Order: sequence, then structure tokens, then C-alpha cells
Amino acid sequence: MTSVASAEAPSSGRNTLFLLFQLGDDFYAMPVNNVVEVVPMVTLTRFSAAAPHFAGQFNYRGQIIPAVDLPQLVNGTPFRPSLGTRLLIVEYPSHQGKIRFLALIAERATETLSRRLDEFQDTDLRMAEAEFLGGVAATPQGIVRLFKLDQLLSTVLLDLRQWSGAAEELPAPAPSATPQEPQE
Amino acid sequence: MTARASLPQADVSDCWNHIGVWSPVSATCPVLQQVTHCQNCDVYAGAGRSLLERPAPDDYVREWTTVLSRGKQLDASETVSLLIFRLSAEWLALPTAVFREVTEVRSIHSLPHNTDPIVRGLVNIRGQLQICVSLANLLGIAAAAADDQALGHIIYKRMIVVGIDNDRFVFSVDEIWGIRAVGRRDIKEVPVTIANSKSAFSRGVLLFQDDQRSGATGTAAKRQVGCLDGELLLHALRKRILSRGGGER
Repeated sequence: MTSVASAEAPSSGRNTLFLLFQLGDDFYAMPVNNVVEVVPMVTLTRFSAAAPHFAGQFNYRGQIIPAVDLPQLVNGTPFRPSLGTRLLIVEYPSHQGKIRFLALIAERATETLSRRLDEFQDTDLRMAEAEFLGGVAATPQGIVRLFKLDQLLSTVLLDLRQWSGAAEELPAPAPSATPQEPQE
Repeated sequence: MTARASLPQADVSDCWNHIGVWSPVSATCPVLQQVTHCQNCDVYAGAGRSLLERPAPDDYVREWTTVLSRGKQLDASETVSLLIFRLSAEWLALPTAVFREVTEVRSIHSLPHNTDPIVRGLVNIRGQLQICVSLANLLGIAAAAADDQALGHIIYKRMIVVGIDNDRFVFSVDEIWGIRAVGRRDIKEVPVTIANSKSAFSRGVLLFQDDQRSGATGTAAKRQVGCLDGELLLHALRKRILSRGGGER
């Protein structure tokens, strides 16, 4: 199953355009090819008994999609609403092959950055941190960390399966996630 | 949604109005020596961005919630800008991008020993000699006295300079209607039943409603405008004229 949202590694000589955003005080960058649309924050309908990093759901062009609170997921603090706090719409293929959307709440998602992908270097000190956080690059804004969408989707979609009841709404499990039917 | 702590509101001090270029007294900011204008300064840019650090107004959020729930409207970004003109009895259009200049009709200095019916000669456009071509001959349009057009307004013949990059060609037209942005879908394909020179350059036909002038009946005249492919046309002219004998340049 090909991941629709994967960022192809460009040839090392070419610059990639990244969307820059903040979670708390830290800067993150995600290739713009991963993002379908960046929209302002809208009113979210809260899930019931959902994990805290699901801030709610809303109607995105006719489809009810969940919104993941990235500052909550990464830093443990809920997102701060402001005009610069935006929803990054990303897509993934469902188990029926249909395209489904997911919204990521990011603060200060107002700028872009052009860099080569290989400029994001993994630090030697690799602490136990989330799989979707990649290497770092130095920019005028400070240290920017690469945000790996594929790994985030694997994490998040598994959680969505767990709390969501409707079977046909469920997204397809990511390759790394364990399927519900026992294999052994 | 529980109330969350908002991002701290930025304290915007408008140094550009006090010591910058918009200062009513004098621009004394030392950074100006490097950046020349406040627009290039990071402080100015940062202050602009920090304006987004305000909490979003409630009705803004409500409006966006509604807007986002609707499908994306296929807006009229699929428009092309065309300049519509007339040669004899035919109305034609070319993409605005190929036009360089419109000027009054000037005298054409004919080239000796010229047998090509497409090349009319040379025209002096603002001190430079440009090649004047006969678009009517290229497209196979017969000269006709077109007096069935709208009466009661003065028609000016014009000369048009077209070209992309460094090429320039001039041709005269009997009337220029003007520029109109049309939806790409409004240019209808024409079945190629007759292979004539015009169809080689044709991109389609536009049913054009002339709302600027009324026809004989008093209502907006509807015309069929032949939309031409600008690049194909220029390419053909280039090949035909400039590649002969090493070109006039």
C-alpha cells in the first residue's frame, strides 16, 4: 500500500519547500507536498472519551475528519488558539483505497522554508522521543526539527481505530500497526 | 472546547513610523544603512507576522467553519486573457501575453525583391525597424469591406506589435475591441472540416457577447471569435521569415 502522504526524498542538490510551524516554543518543518491545504482554525466538535490529543472533529468539505492536537501530542500542552494557529490537512488512503483526510493543529503555521532535505541532520543524542520527529537544521529562526508525517500517521491512525466504533469509517491500518485479527 | 490560554499578544512598537522610512521627522534607524527600506528589515517583517498572534474573533471562526464545510468552488481561475480584434470581417483573439504594443498605423517601407505575401515590409516603431507581416494573408482571410458592424462609433485601424522573448512582428488590424478574460471552457472546439491556414493556428471559437456596443438591433452583438494560438503563430512567423537568408537582425 503506497502511502499517499510520503515525501519523496529529493536529489540532494535540490531544495524542498517546507511548511514551518511551531508547537509550543519549538519550530518544526514538514514538506509542503505532504499538506493538502492549510486552513484557519474552526470550531471543533469534541469527541467523547477520546485521547487528549484528539481535539475534536469538524466538517471538511463534506467529510467529518478528526483534528489532532499536535502541541498536546508532542509537548503535552494543548494548542493555543490564535490567528496563526492553523489546521494542516493531510491525506491518507483508507482500507477501501479511498482518500481520507486528517487535520493537524499547528501553531504559527504562517511561513515556509526552503532547504535541502539532507540538511536535517539527526542529532547524536537520540533520546527516547517520538518516531515522527526527525533531524534538525539550523535556520535564522533557530533550530528547526523535521516532522515526519508518515510516522505520525502510523501512530495517530492506530489511536483512531481504538476509540472509533464505526468499522467502515476506520482508516486502513498502517503497515507497522498490528491488525486486529490474530495472526498466530 | 475548554478555554485555553491564548498566545501572548505581541507588543508591536512601530519603529518604522518613528525612526524608519515613514518617520515624519527623519529616518535615523541605523539598520536602514543595510536594508535601505523598512520593508526589507526583519523587525518590520516580524512585526507584521506577529499581528497573527491575536486570538481569532468568534465570527471569523464561525464563518470559516461554515465555509470549510462546503466543497471547494471551482472558481474562474481557469480563465485566459485574450485581446480581441478584427481583420476584415473576421473577429479573432490572441492571448494577451503575446502582445507587446498597440500603435497607430504607420507607413510600411516595402522590402525590395520581396515575393513573400506574408511579409509586408518594415515599420518604424519608436525608432526601431520591425518586420510587418500580413496576418490576413497568413490566415487566409480575404479583405472585405466589413460595414455590417456596429454603427455610430468610430473605428480606428491599428498596428499591433507581438512577440515573445526577442522576436517582434507587426501587423495591422481593422479594429481592436479590447481585452477580455474568458473562461477556458468558453472556447469551444471547432470541428476541422476544412483544412485551411486559419485552422492551423486556431484554438477554438468563442461565442462573444459584445456588451460594449450594440449591434443593429440595439442589443449586445454576439460574435464568433476565432481564438488563435499565440505561440504557434509566432513560431510559424519566426520559421518563415527569420530563418530565410540568415534573418534581418
